[in-house]
Amino acid sequence: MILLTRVDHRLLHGQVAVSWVQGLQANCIFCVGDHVANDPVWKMTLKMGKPAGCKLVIKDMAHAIEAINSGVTDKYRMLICVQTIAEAKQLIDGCPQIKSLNLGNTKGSPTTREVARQVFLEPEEEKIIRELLDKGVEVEIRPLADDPKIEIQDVL
Amino acid sequence: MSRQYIIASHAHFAEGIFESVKLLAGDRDDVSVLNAFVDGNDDVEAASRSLVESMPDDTDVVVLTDLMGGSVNNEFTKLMLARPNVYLVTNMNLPLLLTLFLSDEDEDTESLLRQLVSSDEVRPRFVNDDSAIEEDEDF
Repeated sequence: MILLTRVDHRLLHGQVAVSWVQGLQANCIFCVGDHVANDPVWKMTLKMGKPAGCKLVIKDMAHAIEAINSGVTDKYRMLICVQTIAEAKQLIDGCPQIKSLNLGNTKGSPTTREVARQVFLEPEEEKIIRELLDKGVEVEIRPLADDPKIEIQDVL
Repeated sequence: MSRQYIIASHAHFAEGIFESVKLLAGDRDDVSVLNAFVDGNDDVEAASRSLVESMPDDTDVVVLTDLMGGSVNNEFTKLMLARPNVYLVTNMNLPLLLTLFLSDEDEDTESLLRQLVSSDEVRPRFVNDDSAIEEDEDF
């Protein structure tokens, strides 16, 4: 069962390991992305810092979509982390059963707009989000599990 | 019984560690902070006493301090001995606070704290010894 799909440029870190794993009672964290899957040092760091009692799987995008669609992930209470909104779109396009997307942390740059604490959007990311909304995907902002949901259409 | 927390330290460690708690686990309204010997808080005895006395009688008061043997912990030790339902934990660190704040609020305070301080999760760790390369996990 996919409990949450989150965009977080740091993937698994304190907010995810502490607030989200506890808040959702997750037993599996799935970090998805071609960057992390091909970065041995980052993978080792994530493995060392994972919360006790929680499985951690790291895969590139193509293998992740394949794994989710094969049904092998169904038995886990799973939290998926991707780094960027573009990757979230790829994942949702490949796995249409994902109906909701959480925005946690995205990187700021000179061309981003800050729409909430921790969430900065490039113009092309706003476009991707509108495409997701048009597909009927919920897009919401919550840094921590106990925070109130901010629906993205209220801040776009 | 409901619970209130006091985080107390020499200088701004108490305020700083609570800032970290808020960033990771969210804000809460059941925590008071005492930064001793800074910002005019030089009378630790009075400051700690008035904090504890401000708590309702039917509340468990959990006090977390920075250092065994330090004057902050010494002042709260006196208060712990003088009043029932004051529970004092020292040598606090971030995993300890996070685990405490995410624990079941209905659990008995005394047994919760006893278990917490002996847990492996709250001990400092030498990370070099943890960095053996493991196989990637799969589903």
